[in-house]
Amino acid sequence: MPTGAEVVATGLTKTFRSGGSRIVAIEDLSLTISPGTMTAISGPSGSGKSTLLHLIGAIERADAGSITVDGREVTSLRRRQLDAYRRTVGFVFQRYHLLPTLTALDNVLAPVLPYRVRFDKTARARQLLDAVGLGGRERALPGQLSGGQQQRVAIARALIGEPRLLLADEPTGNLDSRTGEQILDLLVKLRDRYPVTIVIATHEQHVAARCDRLIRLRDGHIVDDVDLTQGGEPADITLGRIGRLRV
Amino acid sequence: MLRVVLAQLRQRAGRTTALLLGVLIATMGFTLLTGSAETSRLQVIGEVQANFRAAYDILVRPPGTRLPLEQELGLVRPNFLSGQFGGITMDQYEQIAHLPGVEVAAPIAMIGYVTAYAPVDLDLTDAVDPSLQRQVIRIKPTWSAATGLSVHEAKPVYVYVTRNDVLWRPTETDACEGTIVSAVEVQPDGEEIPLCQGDGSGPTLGEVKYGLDVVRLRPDGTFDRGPDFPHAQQRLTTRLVWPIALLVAAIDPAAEADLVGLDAAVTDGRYLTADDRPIDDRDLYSSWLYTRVPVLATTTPGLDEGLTASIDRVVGEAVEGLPGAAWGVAREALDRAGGQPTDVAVEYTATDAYRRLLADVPGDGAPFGSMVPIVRSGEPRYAVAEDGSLTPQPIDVQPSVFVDERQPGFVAGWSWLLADGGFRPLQQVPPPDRAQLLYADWVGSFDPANLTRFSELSAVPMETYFSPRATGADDRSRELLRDQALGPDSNPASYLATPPQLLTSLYAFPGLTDAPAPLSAIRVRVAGVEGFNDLSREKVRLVAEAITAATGLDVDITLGSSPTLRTVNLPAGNYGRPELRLAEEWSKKGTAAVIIQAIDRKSVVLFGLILVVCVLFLGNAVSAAVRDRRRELAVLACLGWSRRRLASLIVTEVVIVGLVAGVASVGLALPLSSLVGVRLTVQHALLAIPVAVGLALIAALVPALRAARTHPAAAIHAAARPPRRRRVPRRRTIAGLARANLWRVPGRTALAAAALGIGVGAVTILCAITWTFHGSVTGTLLGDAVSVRVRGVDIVAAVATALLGAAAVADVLYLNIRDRAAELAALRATGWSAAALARLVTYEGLGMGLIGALTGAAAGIALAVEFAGTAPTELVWVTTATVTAGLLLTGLAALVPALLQRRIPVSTLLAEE
Repeated sequence: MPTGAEVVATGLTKTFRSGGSRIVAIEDLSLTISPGTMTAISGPSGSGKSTLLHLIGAIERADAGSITVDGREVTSLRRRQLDAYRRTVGFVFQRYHLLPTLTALDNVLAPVLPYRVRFDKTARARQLLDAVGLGGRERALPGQLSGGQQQRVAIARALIGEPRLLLADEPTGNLDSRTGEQILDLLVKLRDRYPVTIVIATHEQHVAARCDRLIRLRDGHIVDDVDLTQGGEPADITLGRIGRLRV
Repeated sequence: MLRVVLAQLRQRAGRTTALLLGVLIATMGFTLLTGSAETSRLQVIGEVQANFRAAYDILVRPPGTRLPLEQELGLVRPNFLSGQFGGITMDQYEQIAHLPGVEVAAPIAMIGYVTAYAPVDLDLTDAVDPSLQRQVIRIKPTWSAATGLSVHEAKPVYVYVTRNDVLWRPTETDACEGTIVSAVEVQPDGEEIPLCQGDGSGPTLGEVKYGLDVVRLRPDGTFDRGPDFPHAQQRLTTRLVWPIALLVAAIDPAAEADLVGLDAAVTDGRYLTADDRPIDDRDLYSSWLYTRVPVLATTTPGLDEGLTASIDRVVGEAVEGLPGAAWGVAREALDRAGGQPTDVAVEYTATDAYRRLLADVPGDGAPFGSMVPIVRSGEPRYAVAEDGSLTPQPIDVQPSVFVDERQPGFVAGWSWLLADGGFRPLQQVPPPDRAQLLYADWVGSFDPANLTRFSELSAVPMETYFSPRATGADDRSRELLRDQALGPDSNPASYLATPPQLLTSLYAFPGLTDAPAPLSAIRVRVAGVEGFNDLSREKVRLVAEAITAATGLDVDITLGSSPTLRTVNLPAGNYGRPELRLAEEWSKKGTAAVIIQAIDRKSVVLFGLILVVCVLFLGNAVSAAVRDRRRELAVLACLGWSRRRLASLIVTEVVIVGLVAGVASVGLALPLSSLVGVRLTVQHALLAIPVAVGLALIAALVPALRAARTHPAAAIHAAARPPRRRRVPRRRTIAGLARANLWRVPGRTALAAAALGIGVGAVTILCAITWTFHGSVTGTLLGDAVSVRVRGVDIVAAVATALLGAAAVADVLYLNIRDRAAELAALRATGWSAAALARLVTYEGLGMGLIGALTGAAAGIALAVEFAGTAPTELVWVTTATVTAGLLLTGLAALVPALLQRRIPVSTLLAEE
């Protein structure tokens, strides 16, 4: 059975220019994400979480270093190959970024709208909406959906291209904790059901606690890397895990 | 507050620059476009000014001569002189000539058609085979007219050439049916056989009749043609006679010189003088009294006639049997006999023949011969068809009008053409004194091409000098005429009448000035008419009124008139000319005035459209700026700013931008205008400042009011509103998505579409107005020429308006992209290629283009149909073309935002930290 993608980053560096000053977002960062895992990237604001996600998703180009996904060097891809690569990656944003003019179903279809795909787009979109618990709301507009529902649509949208890698940038950041939990439940369920590797950028400890692995960033460096499946639990998130166990 | 405004403008330098550019483009556009509209207006008037000056301003004709058709449509028919023989008295002429304000009054009295016989000499030398003892040279003339459409194959002419001796002595013999024989052939055996030559007395009823021409070929190769040719002839020639009808008119030499410079057009001989009088003399042979009338002859008779002749040689039985045979019998045999072809071919035009006639002028010459009888032709009667085309009604031509009582049997001027039918009733007029013969006495020749040049565009009827021309009005007729113009011919009853080819003085034609009302028309030029302006028009009107009041004659103001084409259906002739649909030049009175008014209206329309597009463009820019700042304004509202203060904040900001843009556009427009050839005055350029401020104010009005209504809660609303419609169709294609996006900010879409639509509409309207120049409003040569000139500048203005509209579309697309940058970034992140996004943007642009172009074109069509009263098919094509062009234009304009979209900072927009 196919699993998700394996992500290997080596010596990644990314800096931004802002006004006259240079800001180092990521510096000489190396990591390997195993296929089919759910990894949390955490850290305070400005630690480089989003940048790392954008580099993996090829929205941003690294200044130095390389990213290899399933053995394919992403950093050296040409523009067209990049577009194709992005279609194999699902993205979920904090602010959902749904197209307000499109129904839930059409929003799910949006990524593959300009392209031909092997599968029946609409059938898959319906199936995904069912999977995220929105069966029956296909014709609703984003404005008619709650925040949690909108994020579910966004997750379904991220999965339409049958991605083997799902990147979520603060997926619960705009949601209340209860809804956030439901979204996390959904992501866990999806990881189990679909062959997908999930990387979540979050600053919320209870979100990180739900993942298989936690990577902590500060000022563009990895400061902590804990495998949560092997019981290696940093003290500050144990509480969150216990909290979850109680539920 | 000013500090806030200035801080705003400074801090948001990008947006301020964008707004500034918007106002600048709009103002520059306005300045240059209105400048070009102004330029075109001046050009048109200039054109009319330069062209309106014609030979005369007023045409005076006898009372009741104006056709109802002319009355109704404000036209003057061509050939207005042709049917007009007298009707105005010499006293009336004197009255008019002495009215104050009359610079020149030139009378013309039409006298009528006389016939001249032009000689056409054919050289037959090379057709003779010297080895033959006896032969007959057969000449088969083919006459043609109407650009060769009317063809008449005349009976052959025969020349008998013999090597036998010929005795030239009059002999009376029974063999020749009682006719006189002047040649007797001596046969080789010594027998003398008379040669019957028939009655070759000249033209008789029906056709010019030729007898047998007898020639002896001497052993030395010269030709002996009898006692009339005393010297041996090296060449053998025979002469055909070409009867040419010439129209005679009498003028006042001094007035005509003033009016058209006729004196300066004399190419040979001398001009007529006021002292020219008829000269009475006595014919030496007949001892009849005759009168010689001095005439000035045209060098260009303007006749559309031709002659070709095929020449062959008859030998054998028909020739052997000729000596001693009655001419009638011999002729029949010759007609039937076959012939040997020769290399001799003949081709002549009526002008050749006429010039040959002029060349024959002896020292004191009277080449035109007898002027009796004189035939006058009347006006054709028209049937008017539903489409406004005219059909002249055919009449029978009675040859008897050409019979001179004193020479019965001799039909002067009988040409085969008379049998072709006619449209003008003919009438013989008695010569001034029946006891006299009348001879036209050549004093000089004039070339009409040398007359004072008046504008061809505003040519008043100049039938006095130029042949009327009619061209094919439909493809079939043009093809039949081989794209040539149909001209008049020697048939005085023909539809097209010749100009007078022979001019004499009023005082040199016997009895003319003593006749009760000899003058056919008076052409009046008014003093002090300079330029086509109200003052000049008033001067002409006053003189015209004075003439009417003093004489009661028909008066037409021809000032500012211009040729206009009327369709004439000419019925088929009897010699093969099929029915023709012709375009004939009539004169439309007062064209110049109509053109100036039409242009003024068009300028106003263009000004208005340019303004509206500018306001739309600006309104869009300002309202986008306000939308951009909704949150900011909401914050200010939260802080307690009053509505008025919020509105004035926006207005002040926009006015400052407008002011700067206005000043900048003054600085730019002046050099730019000279670059694109638009005449721009400094005052006009300075107008840009108030225009820019005014435009900015008008454009800021709605956004300012909207800003004032800003609710503090707006601070938490999203920038892009969700659609209001509850039922949303599926969007499964990029085009569908684009369509949905157009509905998101319908006002903005409508604004852009309207801006483009106005441009497209302007082009369509312009075409409609241009079309009316061809059509009912002016439809004249002058109108045509003006519209051609106008088209260049005006199309530039209208196309520029459309460009401005396309720029508005691009602007809206750009604003949309900015508003929806995050959405586009999300699509980009999910794998949409930049090209797919560019397609989305382009489709949105094309959508706006389609709405705008279709609406504009529809409005254009509606206006055009309203304007012209009909919807010609050309208009549909034009509209299709403008819609297509509008779409292409927006497609191109959309490329800019489509490319700019690539620069969306995807990562920044999506980053959450």
